[in-house]
Amino acid sequence: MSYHRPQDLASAYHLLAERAPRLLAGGTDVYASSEGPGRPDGAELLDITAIRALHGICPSPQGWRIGAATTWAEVAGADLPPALDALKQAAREIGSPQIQNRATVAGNLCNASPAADGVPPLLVLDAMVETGSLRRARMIPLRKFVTGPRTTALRTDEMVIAVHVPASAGKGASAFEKIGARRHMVISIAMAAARMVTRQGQITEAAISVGACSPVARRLTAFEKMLKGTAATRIADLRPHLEQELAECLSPIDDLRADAAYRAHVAGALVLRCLARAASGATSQPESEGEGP
Amino acid sequence: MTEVSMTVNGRPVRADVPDNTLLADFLRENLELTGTHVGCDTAQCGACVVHVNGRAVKSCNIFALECEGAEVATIEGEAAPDGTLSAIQQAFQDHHGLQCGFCTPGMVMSAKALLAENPEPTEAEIRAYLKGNICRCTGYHNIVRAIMAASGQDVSNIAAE
Amino acid sequence: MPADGGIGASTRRREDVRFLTGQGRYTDDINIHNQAHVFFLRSDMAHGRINGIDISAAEKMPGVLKVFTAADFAEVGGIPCGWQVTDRFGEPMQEPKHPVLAEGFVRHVGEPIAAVVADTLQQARDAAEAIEVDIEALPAVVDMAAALEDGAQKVHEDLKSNLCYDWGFVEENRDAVDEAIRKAPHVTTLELVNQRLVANPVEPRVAIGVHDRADDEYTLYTTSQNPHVIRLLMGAFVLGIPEHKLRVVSPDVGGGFGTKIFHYQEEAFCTFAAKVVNRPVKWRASRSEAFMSDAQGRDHVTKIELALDEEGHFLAIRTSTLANMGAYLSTFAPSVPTWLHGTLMAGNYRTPLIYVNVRAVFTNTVPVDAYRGAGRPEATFQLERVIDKAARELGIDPVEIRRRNFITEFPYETPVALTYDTGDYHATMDKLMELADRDGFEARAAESKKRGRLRGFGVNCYIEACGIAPSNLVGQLGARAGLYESATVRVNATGSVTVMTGSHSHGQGHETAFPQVIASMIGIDPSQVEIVHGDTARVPMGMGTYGSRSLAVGGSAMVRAAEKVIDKARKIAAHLLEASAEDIELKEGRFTVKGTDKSVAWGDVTLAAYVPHNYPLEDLEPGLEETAFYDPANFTYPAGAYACEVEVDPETGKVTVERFAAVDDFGTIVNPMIVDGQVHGGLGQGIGQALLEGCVYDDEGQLLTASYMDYAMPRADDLPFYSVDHSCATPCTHNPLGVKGCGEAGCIGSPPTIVNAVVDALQRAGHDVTHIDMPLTPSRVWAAMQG
Repeated sequence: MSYHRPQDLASAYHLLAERAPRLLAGGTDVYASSEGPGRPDGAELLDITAIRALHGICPSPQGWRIGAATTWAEVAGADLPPALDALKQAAREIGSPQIQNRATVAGNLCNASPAADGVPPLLVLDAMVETGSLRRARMIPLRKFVTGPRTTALRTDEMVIAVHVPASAGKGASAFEKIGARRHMVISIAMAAARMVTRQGQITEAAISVGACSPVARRLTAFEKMLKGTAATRIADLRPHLEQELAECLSPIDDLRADAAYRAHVAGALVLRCLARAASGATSQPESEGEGP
Repeated sequence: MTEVSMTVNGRPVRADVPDNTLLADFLRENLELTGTHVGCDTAQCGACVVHVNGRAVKSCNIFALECEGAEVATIEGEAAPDGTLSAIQQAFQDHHGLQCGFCTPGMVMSAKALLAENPEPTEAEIRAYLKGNICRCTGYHNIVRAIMAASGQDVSNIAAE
Repeated sequence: MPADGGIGASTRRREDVRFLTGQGRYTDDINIHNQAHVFFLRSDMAHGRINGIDISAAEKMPGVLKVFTAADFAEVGGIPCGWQVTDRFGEPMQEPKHPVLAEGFVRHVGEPIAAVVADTLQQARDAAEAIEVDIEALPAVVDMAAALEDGAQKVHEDLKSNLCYDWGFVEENRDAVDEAIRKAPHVTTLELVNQRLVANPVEPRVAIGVHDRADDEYTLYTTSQNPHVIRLLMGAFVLGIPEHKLRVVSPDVGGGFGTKIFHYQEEAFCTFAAKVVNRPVKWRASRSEAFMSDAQGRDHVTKIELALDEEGHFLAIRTSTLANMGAYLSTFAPSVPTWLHGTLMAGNYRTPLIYVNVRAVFTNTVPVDAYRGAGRPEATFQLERVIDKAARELGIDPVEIRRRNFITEFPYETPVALTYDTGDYHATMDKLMELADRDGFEARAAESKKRGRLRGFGVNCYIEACGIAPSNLVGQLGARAGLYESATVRVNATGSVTVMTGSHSHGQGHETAFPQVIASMIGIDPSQVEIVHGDTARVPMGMGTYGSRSLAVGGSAMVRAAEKVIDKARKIAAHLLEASAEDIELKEGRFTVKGTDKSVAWGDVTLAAYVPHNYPLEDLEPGLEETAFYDPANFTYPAGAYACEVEVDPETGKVTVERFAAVDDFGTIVNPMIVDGQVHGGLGQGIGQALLEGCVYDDEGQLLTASYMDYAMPRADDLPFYSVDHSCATPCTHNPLGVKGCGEAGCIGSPPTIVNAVVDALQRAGHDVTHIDMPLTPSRVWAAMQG
């Protein structure tokens, strides 16, 4: 195995193009997926953590830019508006504090596990993934970036530079919920995130996502539309519609952690809990539709 | 082989290591600091927790080369040079927070990181923070008590017997 | 707490200092000069016929010293089984050969097929990838019931079937029990699974074999709970090395929980290979290897029937169990579902008639053997669950039905061959009700309801047979070893004491607790007493630590040896004081002539023993060192009552343990702090079994739970603080300390407590749920609520 730790993006792009290495940021998924002496497997590893441009969370008028080497601990500790609470809550749920100190937001997306904690919150934040390579730069919506279990739209010579949350998604409040066999350090059985904007108790905008119940985490767009104009206090009345959409768009699996019927049910329960928490966060805010970056 | 240098428990060290040498193996094999234990290889058990630049990490989950120039702290650096136990170590002994001792170095290093960021954690905060450290012996009762005691809280009313 | 740090003092543990400072010395911390490393090529198939192994490419790989296969072990014995069970027809169990490396067939995922010894582990691993094994897949035998069907695929071609044994106990009672159940006014029936568990000490197993050509001596460093037993089993049965040429060392061991009792292939391999390659050979299990090679636990499928009269008095119990042995018989595997399980079916209750049937089954899975509690948790779980179900069916309070049936007179002879010496089950239950605050439960349940949670209260008792046990008895029951313990008490010239004990400490705190006993006996400071264990070269003989036996058996041996030492010292003191030995008493470290102020200090007597200038040389040898072997007269019977409160989230099925109270009768307590810790740890594992843990194989025999991610052990935030009490002590009548053993209680008593509480919570909320199999995952609890 050989290990590369470039100091700048240009060197990283060259290494990517020439050697097709596996990318290493926090490394927490890379190590966990391999075993034995000489871990991790793979002849070439490209450690991107020495590249300064990839670090940190920068607010701008366009939104928030989360550099590819930004750790979950940094997200959890960042000063972000209530609309990004779901992301901060997921940050505290990922692995353990020692993992959060190393694991990155971008790495979580690139690993593309159906049960990745980072995906549902970023989906309700309409996140975009910025990629770079020697040849070109791209901005890919997250819902198109993760293409299947363990697969992404990333080409072999490309790497993620940053994850962007647009300013338009900075409105309202959000929440994240998940359930596993035990509270922590286990692959989730189901997870959900919701973001909501309200005006005078009426929902003006809702974004809902569910993870670990389908190959890729999903937005519930039909139910989101139905919520528009509804009183935040009446969400639970619409549960049959929620369950209908879940039944249509999710493909939960039977495995040793839980069976499919349970996953489908609990996903609905988690969505409702997220919505209730997001609603209480959104209605407690001034009527300015949240804060800008 | 690549040369790596870092500071471990305040002492500068330098060695040529294969690129894929994990920090845990570097500490145990190259430096003979065998207090850092490896229990699971998959970043689940936490027996290998050390501090890198002041932050708790799992040393089975990071290459030695990633620690180039870093300040690394291990369990061997916890007690005073004369052997006097640190407040956390002493609390673990006073409250029987260990049995077989294998997870203990990681527990102590995690507890230290917790108290550094939260000097008087609640029971729930301690339990949540320890989610990256498995102890199979104690049922955690006395570990949680020890950390509360180390932070200056009165634990005499917590059921002990 | 005694001021002298003797028996009854919560003395801080002396071993903690080295563990807390990173100075513990575990097996993996040992590196021998010039050592080589072994990597085992393990089967990724549960069942298959090996048609050929081509090692030629691997042998040429860099750094490779030798590639081993079964052919290299042709002259070597198989891994022995230490217990032979006789079936209910008087025939011995079926006992397959258990080779060091797979011979002709692979029979479980993880079975070692070949082993590469190389300069570095990386080289060994790389070379192992170059070994070509031609294996023809055979159907995997996974389900126990299917394994027993006529014409089922056999795990071992050379055996008659997959049935290891069909055991009946007490066979003579079979018809009487059938009749009592037929005629009973009420019979409660429960079918349940006691799921397979993995012990998972956090320290993986390690073995280092060393051979010294100069004098043909072997040393094995290994993570064992009983190095002398390994020396005997490996030396005599596998490799043919006599004891005086084989030293086994188990230094600090990072938890055992039963799984480090047994003799494993890797130990024999490293010892054998060290001679062949003429280099020390080291092996450390990765965690996934541990999941595939450490003996696993439990795995019983049981039907239990409890016959009662209208008032809830127990009339008879009949059980039928399938017990999984896995692919081979691990060291003590046959004894677990039989003598450690069937004999406990009386529990704490007067039940006149009991019949236990156990069929042990071979499957293509990792071998199963003793895990903390070993047989007794399986007995306790089914008994306490069926009692709870019966109480609900008859409308009797679960505490009351237990009280109505408690054994109240001791000694009590059960219908399943045990004689309980002491106990006070009513006192224990009284204490539990106070500690658990049962009176406050309704108010807490109402508060939970306000938060949308369902609260339940669970209660049960347990009894265990510990401190195993009389050698002549276990010999009759099929044990191929004695179960005594030995200790040598060496008094040094200046009065300090070194105790060599055959017990092994891997978390239990012997280095602290054992000196407390000696200190109390002699009246010296405990710091003057040192404990030596874990090395066959330093300790004459030992049977090791398991079954909560260290203090009851090993401690008793130490007391007997200390008594001999004190006896001799008294004679020396009598000589020095010019008095008769009968008139000399030892108090607070001084020998005094009764009724006088004439005395001599302990240290002066011990010095005289080694500098015998003024000494009765004609009557006594110089020196002060004695050895004792203690063979107990009976098992010890720790017993207790546990209660807990759980909350169930009705939307997600998630169970949380809100309160847990444990009242145990352990007899005499030497170090209350350590005893509390043992209970806490047992509770953690028992609650883990109830809510989280389960080892799962798919239909092809693939192990689905092979990492700490998929096998969910409890973490700190899965567990509550516990309230534990051991004030209701009825000391054991037949060992010198009156101790009973405390290491397994928490793990035995707590699984039914949790399940009883969850069933209570669901029934109180109107759900018709009578049982849920463990682990009570959110998914299972929610499914049960849906009916």
